[in-house]
Amino acid sequence: MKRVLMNKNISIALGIIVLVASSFLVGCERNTEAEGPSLNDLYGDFTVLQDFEANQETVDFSSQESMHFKARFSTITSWRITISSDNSDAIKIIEGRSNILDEETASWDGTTTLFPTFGIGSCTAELWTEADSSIQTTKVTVSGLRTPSGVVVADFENGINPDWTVFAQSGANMTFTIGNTEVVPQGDNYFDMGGAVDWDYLIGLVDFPGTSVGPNGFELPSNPDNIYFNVALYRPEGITNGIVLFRFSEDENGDGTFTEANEDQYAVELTDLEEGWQIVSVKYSDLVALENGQPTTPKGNNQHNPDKLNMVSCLFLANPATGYSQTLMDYMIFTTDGPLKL
Amino acid sequence: MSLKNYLIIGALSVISFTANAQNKKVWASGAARSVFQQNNLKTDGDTVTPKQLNSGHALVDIAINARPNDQTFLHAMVRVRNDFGGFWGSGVTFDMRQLYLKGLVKNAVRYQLGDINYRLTPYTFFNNQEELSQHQSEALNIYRDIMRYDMFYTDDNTWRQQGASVDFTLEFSKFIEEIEVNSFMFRNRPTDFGQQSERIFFGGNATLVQSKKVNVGLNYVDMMDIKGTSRSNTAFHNPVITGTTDFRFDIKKFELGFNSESGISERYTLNDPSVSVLRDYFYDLNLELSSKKNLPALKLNYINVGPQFRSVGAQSRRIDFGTQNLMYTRYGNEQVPRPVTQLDMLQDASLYQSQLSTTLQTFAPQYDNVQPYGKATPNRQGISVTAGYMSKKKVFDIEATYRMLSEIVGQGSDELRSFSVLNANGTLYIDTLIPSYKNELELSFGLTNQQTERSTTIPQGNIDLKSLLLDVGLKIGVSKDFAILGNYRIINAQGNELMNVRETSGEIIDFQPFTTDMKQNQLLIALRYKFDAKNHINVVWQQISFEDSADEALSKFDLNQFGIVYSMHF
Repeated sequence: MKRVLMNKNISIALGIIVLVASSFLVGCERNTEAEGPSLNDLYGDFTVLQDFEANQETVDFSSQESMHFKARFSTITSWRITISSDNSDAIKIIEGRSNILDEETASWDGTTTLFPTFGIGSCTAELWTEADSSIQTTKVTVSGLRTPSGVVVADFENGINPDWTVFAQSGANMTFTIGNTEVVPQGDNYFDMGGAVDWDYLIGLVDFPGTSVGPNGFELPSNPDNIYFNVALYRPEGITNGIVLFRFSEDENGDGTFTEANEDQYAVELTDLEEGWQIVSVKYSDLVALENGQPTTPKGNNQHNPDKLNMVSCLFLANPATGYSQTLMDYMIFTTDGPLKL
Repeated sequence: MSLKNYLIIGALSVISFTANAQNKKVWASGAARSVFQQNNLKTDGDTVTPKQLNSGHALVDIAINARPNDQTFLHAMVRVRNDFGGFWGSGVTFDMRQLYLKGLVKNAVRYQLGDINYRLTPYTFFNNQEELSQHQSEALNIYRDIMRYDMFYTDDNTWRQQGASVDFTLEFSKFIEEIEVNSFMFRNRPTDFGQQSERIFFGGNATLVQSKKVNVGLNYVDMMDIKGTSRSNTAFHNPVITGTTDFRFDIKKFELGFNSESGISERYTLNDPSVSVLRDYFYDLNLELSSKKNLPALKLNYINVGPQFRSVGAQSRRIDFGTQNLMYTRYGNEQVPRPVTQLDMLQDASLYQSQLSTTLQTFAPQYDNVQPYGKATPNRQGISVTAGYMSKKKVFDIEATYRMLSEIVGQGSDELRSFSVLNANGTLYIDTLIPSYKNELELSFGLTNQQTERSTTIPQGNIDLKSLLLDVGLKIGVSKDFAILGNYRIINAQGNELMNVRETSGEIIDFQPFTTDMKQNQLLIALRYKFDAKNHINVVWQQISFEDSADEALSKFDLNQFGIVYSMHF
């Protein structure tokens, strides 16, 4: 009797086993294609199937146009396109690893890798491929310049705006003036901050009030996650002691001024700039309140309110014991949806 | 108040708690250890790396245990560590090592809150053993046990997590004996209130026990981001659902067992179209034949794990070979990263992970190229046979496993890799052969031979990788408390592989050629004195030589280490 019962149990169990096991796998399909790139694409004989060329001879970046380069190879290889202006030192570098250059992998929207920015005129594009170390070239002509969209705080093209407040200590070799002798990332001018002050960290500062941008101020959207502060900065060779501090003062109560005691002031402090020109971009919501360089609690509503921004200030500082310091500044702009691309 | 005073008060408090343990049901427990090491690295022509490196520390883990009532238990453990050389408290650190509360509700529902060791099945939630751990002689365990204790690794393959678990059993009077239900929810990652959402790992299983001979189970786990806990609207998900069966019956003197696990997984990210959905299935079938007296045993296994099967809880690795050694991190005049050796794997806790990983972590094919992510390694199918035998008078035991696996789909080609592994280990208990010898006398060995092969029409796609591990251990009991331990282990690996380069979504985007001609030899000799079962001191000397002639950047080196290890539990 017991044996029969056991057999019955076994039958029940086997039924459950089959049900449970099969229920998970019923309807399951498996992709049986090989994973990853084809070995033939990676390691086959390399040949150029389509020569390097631009998809259009002329491009107008001012009307938001973009262009791309085309080429096809028999295998996947690393490649690099170097676009050089025939009239200036502007260079754009596009790198990738694929066997096809197309709109997805090799597009150019008019931006620059090495400043100055591209001007109107012809450019030479050079394609280097790792597989055979060959170089192919093609030409493209820029007929319209790229104009980044956003709220321009200062581009220094018309000198110093009388609404700005410029203060420079009475140190040695002080500049704090408009300059144009170095490479200029945008336009023809930049702002030169330099000097030696042996009694104070502060070398000088510039206040950019919202009223200098427009009668209604900066008019930024309210979402701090979608606003980016951008500025082009230049560290001269051999100068490593500069500190650039940007402050963002908010007018939370709408009285037209920033009150330090009970309104938010956020900041970003830049100390490790690369040599040469670079674009620094900071999301507005990533700005922090600082006191003597250390994070602190904002004194206002403790919320990032770009729509209530009253003034942007740029302070140039250096350790007084370290002597002369200098940084160049250009094209300060707020952008939405992403950092500035010049 | 000085640090010294705090320590005195703390010590007095512990003594006080212990003294009142019987009445107030509060008592202290813990562990202590002290390690001192002297290392010497020899590399031909290296004039940059310091040769000698000494290090040491002493630490105490003090736990307060409390049982305020019959149904509740509290445990809090604090670690006080002093690195040698940090005088007057400057090198002292205090850390909360573990904290949990567990109990029983109405004698029916068990719960635990805080730090929890947990596991389910090898395809859902399972902490696979690290490489080289199949056959560890006692000599090698001296340092490995320290690392495992620090990382909360256990032999039962649990992961240490933080959260809550609830377990209960429903009993029945007819047809089925009981249904065991286990559930858990762990916090895997906190939100940063920016773009990183709170991530939790939750799941459980229900096992229907029809009798001692039959049970079936259902397992479910999911690693997921909780939307709304950050500004990001994307959310990672990796649900896995499996079914298990276990069926046993008797055939004369033997027991025949059939058990299986099968299931499906998905891996996707909500609101992120750039991340592909991975969906696949697996099945794992086992047939076991064993003697009721546990002498000979034979196991037959077949697995089929799909290439897109993903299970965070089962595929997370202990060692992430993307990390670096802590000791002699770089070496040679070029100061290249020093490769991870078997010695580092025994004692460098910084190589080991305590968090579950949502991506397939880096592994080292020279140590294990066949199933680096345990049984849940994706894209594997095949059989394995295991045979074990223990002699009647316990003179020796031996176990051997042969695995013959292949890929299910090719990588970069339709041709499949084939894998074979022979794994054998055994111990000869010499003392049982010599009745006059009253102390332990054991000789153990281990062997692992792995091979990976693939032939394709593209020469660069051909793969031929072989590795061999040979291990001999010796234990000579000189007296009841004093023993000499020794171990000699060789690891050789030769050949080439194409390592996968994956996106964070898990898709393969490239292959990275890997070649090796590695030779490692490790000799370890130790003297052990046991004060009692939980209290011993070891004096350890070991030497390892490493060379990989296939990698010109890696210089041959020898590493000598002398160490004194004292450990106790109380």
